[in-house]
Amino acid sequence: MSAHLLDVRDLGKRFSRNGRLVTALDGISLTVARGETLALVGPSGSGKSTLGRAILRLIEPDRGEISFEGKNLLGLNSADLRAARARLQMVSQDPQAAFNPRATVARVIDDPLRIHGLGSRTERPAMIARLLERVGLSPDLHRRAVHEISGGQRQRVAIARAIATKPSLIVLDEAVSALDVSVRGDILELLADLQRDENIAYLFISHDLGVVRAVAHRVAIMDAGRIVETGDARTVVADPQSATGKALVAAVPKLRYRAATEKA
Amino acid sequence: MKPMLSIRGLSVAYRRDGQEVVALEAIDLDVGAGEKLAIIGESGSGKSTLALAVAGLLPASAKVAGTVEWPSLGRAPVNGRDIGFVFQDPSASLNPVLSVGEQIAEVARTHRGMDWRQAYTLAEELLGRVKLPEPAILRRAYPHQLSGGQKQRVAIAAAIAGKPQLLIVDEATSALDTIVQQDIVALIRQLADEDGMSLLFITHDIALASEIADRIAVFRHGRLVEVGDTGRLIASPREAYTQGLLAAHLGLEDVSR
Repeated sequence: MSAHLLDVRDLGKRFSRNGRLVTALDGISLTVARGETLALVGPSGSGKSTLGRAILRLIEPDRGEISFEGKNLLGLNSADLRAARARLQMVSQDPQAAFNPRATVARVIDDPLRIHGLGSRTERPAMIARLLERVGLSPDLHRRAVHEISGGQRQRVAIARAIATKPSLIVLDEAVSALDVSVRGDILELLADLQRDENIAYLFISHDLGVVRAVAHRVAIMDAGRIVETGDARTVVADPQSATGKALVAAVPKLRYRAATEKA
Repeated sequence: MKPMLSIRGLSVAYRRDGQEVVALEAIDLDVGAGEKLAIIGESGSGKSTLALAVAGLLPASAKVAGTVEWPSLGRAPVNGRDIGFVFQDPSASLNPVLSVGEQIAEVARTHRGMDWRQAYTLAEELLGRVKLPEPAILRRAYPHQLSGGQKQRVAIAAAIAGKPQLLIVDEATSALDTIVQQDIVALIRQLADEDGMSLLFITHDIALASEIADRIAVFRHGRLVEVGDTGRLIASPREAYTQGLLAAHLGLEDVSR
């Protein structure tokens, strides 16, 4: 079996849309090592979110293989899949949409603990308090409804929920894209801390190359369902080889030190 | 020269859950004719409230003090004719059951006194100006048949169909990917230059603001933190908050971090 934490081979997925077949994933192969951050970057419709969802088995690929922690993820029965899901978590762009808005913070974090049988009813409140502290929130926050807290706090709660089951891989799907820049830096720092302490790997799906350059070890650039370029994140961003990579780099807004009217 | 838009002592408060929430506090700001001004800020900064106040689109329940005047116009502005507005989500601002040509033509009919035939001819021309392919065919398309970037181009065409003197663009590229964003921002800049339109460009992205604006105004918690020429503000921000925003920016520029 593969020595990689995640080993995706020749993954394919087609959707039928308006009577036409659209190829969302067209022979994707990639690996992620333990404790590594692999960024998936591409224009909208390139298939990066579909790939993330296929790896989480939220959609079923048409062909290909996914090996996760040495197990064939696509061949697992439902009990084994549930066990694997504890090790494979997700944080999305908008946790508000992912949570029951009337749920309390405690409930949102308790759900995965309860579902995966981690801790008894009497032990779990202390586990929730520790998780809140781990993500830099006050344990007192546990009574609050998730719609009452700020966007940055909500994303910390989503991270606490994701790490509750001690995953080895978290799919971060545009997880910092909706945050204010001042909050974003703190969340990226938290993610880096968790990775260092728990050796968690991240599949970091993003459209923002500036963020990718700052946080990812490696990057895979996607276009039209294929990986068109892959390599060390800083190297690829500094000198992209593929047409898509070049276009993405060129499109990143750059701080201008001259007024627009002074430009030639 | 008279400024096109002159804002003095503008304060806006909303009522939420029986409490008064201040969205803008004592704002003084001018926009010159043909000037591109970027308004930047994080959530809750009041930047979108400012856009709504300028366009007279605040909810009736909002408490407003201060003045928004149009010295060069010499009268109250008419939305659609004097002010064009492009919002973040074109799916919400375009009518799903009208063809895109009809939506653009309707603006020209209402505000420029054209008949339908003239208005449709103009709509086709505008679809070409916003660089959509095959305007003669595309004008019969409905919003759901277009991509997000194409819909935003249609929204821009509708916003400029009344030949406004001021175009307000509120986070119009935030939901688009960076490649499409770059094209749309270049298009907005080009249209503003060609038509001599003033631009109020609202964004959370300081680098994007610096690419299009002559001046940048930084907002935080409903207050104007600082305003200055783009080059000066980026190179030597005066306020700690602006310095923090620049420090938090993750670009491709080589910075030690």
